[in-house]
Amino acid sequence: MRKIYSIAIASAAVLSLAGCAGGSSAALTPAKAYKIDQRDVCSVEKLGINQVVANAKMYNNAAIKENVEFRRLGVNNRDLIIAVEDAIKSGAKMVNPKDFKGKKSKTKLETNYAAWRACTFGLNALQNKHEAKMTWRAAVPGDGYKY
Amino acid sequence: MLSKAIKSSMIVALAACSLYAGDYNAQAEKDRKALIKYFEDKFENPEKNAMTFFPYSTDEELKNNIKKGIKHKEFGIGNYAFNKAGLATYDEIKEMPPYEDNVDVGREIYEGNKALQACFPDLTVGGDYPYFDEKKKEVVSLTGAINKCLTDAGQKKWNEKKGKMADFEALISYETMEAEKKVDIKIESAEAAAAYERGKEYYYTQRGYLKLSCANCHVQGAAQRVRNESLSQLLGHTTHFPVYRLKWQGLGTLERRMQGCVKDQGQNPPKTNSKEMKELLYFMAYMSNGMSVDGPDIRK
Repeated sequence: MRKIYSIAIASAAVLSLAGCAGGSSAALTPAKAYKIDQRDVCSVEKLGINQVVANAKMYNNAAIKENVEFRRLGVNNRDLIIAVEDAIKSGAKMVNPKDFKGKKSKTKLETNYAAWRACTFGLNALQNKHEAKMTWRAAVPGDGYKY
Repeated sequence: MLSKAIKSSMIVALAACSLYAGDYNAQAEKDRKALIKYFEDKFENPEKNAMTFFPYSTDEELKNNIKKGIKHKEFGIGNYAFNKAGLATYDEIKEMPPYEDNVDVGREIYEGNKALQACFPDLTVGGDYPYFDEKKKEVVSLTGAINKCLTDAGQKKWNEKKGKMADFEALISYETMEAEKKVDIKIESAEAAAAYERGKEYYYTQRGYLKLSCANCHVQGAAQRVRNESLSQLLGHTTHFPVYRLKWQGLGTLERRMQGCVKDQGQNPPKTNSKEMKELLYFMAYMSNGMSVDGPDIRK
């Protein structure tokens, strides 16, 4: 009986956590992200690297869903996040993320800086998407673009 | 009397329907004409209109290297339409174009593949893609149509960026050019118009860590110099693919090129057969409506 109780409690805990995670990720729209100040959520000094990389993951997952994930010098932001997580586990001071083909990239960054960049890249991708909804027509000849 | 009334009301109804059907591309036509006007205005007299269209170019550059008075159909050859120095090199390479073998390989592939012969009995269809499939309610690209043809016949898909795909597309483009056909993209339903609008929004949306849109470089930025190259213009962008790029040292499809552009904006690019990619190409191809298909071609 105890076993059944403990399994039930554990399952409930896992399900509720998964629900929370899913809910927060699903709720993170470009419009909501637009209101977030990156200095509040991506500062390693303020929040610590673990929280920043967790935020990076959340923003970047939302950016992937919106098809706006950043890629710099062949490195997708998801691979930068993985590299930072690996560096936290191993205690490495530098990260060398893999490129989008799964090969070693030329990118080498200090770990805290990489966490900050991964977080801001995830957040900015979403913010850009929201902002562009309001600005894209300004570039269309015959529409918003005047010369 | 009654039959006359029925007939006339039927005629009115049919006329109304056809008018309505013709309206689906009204916005796209407005966009296309505005784009043509923009580029014709931009290149009417670059030196005189430098402050409006070429704020970052030197007087010397505008005088010596940018052609003036370019008209609509002349924009079909990319930046060689205005780039005097580039045109000289382009003409030299075109004397012995490096893609000739690819057209031959494409023909061998076609002649040896009954499925392709059945799917593409007429090879002069380069200007008709992408089109909007009204039954499936989606844009069909030439690349997607070729791969569907192959998989329906139980054959393996081809790489959508290069290789056999680019070779076969080179043959289609070449045959279309030889037949003197033009780009002829149609928008015949509300769904097709919506797909066009999404493609347009994608094109004009700033994205990536560099926060650039395609238009930053290829509408407002067209003819601007980046290092030693001049940026090409949206008008006519799709007319000459696949292209042999010196950078690739080989032939590549339009999807390959577009992925490169989005990557250059600092974003993970859309997949070659994704909805986003196909709708983007649909918009771009519509902008080139009425221009001659003149591929394959060469680019740096």
